Amino acid sequence: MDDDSVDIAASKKPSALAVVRPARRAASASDLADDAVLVEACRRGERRAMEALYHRYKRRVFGLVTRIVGPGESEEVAQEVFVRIFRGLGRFRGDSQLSTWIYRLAVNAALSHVTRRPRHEGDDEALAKLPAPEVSDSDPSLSQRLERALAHLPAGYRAVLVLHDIHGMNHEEVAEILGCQVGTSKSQLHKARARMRDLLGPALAAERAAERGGERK
Amino acid sequence: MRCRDIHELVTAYVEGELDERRSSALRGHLRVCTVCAEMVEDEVRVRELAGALEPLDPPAELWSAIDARLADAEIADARRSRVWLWWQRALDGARRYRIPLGVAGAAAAAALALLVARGGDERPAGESRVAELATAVKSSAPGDDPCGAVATHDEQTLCQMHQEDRRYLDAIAELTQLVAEERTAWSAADASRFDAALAELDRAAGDELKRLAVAAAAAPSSRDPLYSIYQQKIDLLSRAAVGGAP
Repeated sequence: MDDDSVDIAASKKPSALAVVRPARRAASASDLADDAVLVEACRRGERRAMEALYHRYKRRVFGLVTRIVGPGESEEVAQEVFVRIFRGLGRFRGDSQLSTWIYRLAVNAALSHVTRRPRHEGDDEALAKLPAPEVSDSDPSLSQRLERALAHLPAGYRAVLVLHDIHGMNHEEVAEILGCQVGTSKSQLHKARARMRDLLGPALAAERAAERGGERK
Repeated sequence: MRCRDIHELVTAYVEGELDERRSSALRGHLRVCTVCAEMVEDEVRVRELAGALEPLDPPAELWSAIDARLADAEIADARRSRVWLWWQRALDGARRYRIPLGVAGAAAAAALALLVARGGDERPAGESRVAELATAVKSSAPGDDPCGAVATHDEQTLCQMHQEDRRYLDAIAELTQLVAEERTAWSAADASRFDAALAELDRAAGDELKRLAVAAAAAPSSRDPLYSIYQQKIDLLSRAAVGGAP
């Protein structure tokens, strides 16, 4: 799990909305490197801390949400996630890591959004049966194909694959975030990968053939 | 090992979750089955490609949009009714204090038992100190920390116990006042039903307090049951304050 870059120096202006507690000094930039200090400062309404928390998690949240709901609606859902984070920090008791709690909020918001969204063409299962596009010289890279293929996975499979393979979490972490059993996470990943192999099959075969052709030369 | 087995085990194999014997058997099958070998290659490639995807940067204006939504939400909070605020406070108290209170309560009861069990010359001093702490907590203003000045761990624990008691009782007192305003609109039957439910909880709390007074001197015991009754009372009052007649 990478730590998103933090640039909070530009936001030092005091906020009248911060809770006034003269006995306690505002958290310094180095203090804010610690999640617990950051959370406390956010609860006091310190704007600089809130911005630091946003920058620390923005790429993780946005990446996760985009890959679950798709690029068209990711901004709206990411906004929703951060609003829930800041308004829910008072209820964060530190039973789990802050990152796990944030991931849980993000996945729940993204999956709820996908579930609510009207479906235009059958269900996710039907979408997943669509053949992968033909390979041609003008085709996108395999990475781009993978991004597109993700959209054809059922939402549950997609969430597990994104958390495990893209965000590099282990099954215990995935299970904690999704509120499921470790075994469920493993079986969902197995099915998700199988579906991805089907969707990317022709492109992967073409890549393999090209590599073998190159080896023969 | 057959092709069907490979289909089932491919992910576990690529993730390194198979034991050595099954891994060896699987590798043996891959040496003689091109189709399965390619399937495993594909699985590895999918995993590699996914792991190598670039992180996604949100648009620069996302933070200002979030900031604006937070401001809107806070302004909306300011316009909400007093009932809603009380309700949130009761809910927040329930979420925040239920588990820590159980732990603090058990520790406090243990500390109380310790103080009383010292016996002899120390007992009167201990008992008067308990009364002192209770008074200090009761007379402290909101935001004060009456436990900050106490010297020993035992006293600290006792003081915290009184603080937790007070939080529950304050919430109950505030909600009771709110319900008193609401109940003027209730029918006599509704009011009677509500009073009966409340009286039952009060009786249970009274019994529990008596039990604690006796048990704490003899053996450490938790205040969890008492706090559970307080919580039920808060729930009952909150529902009545927000939803009207029970």
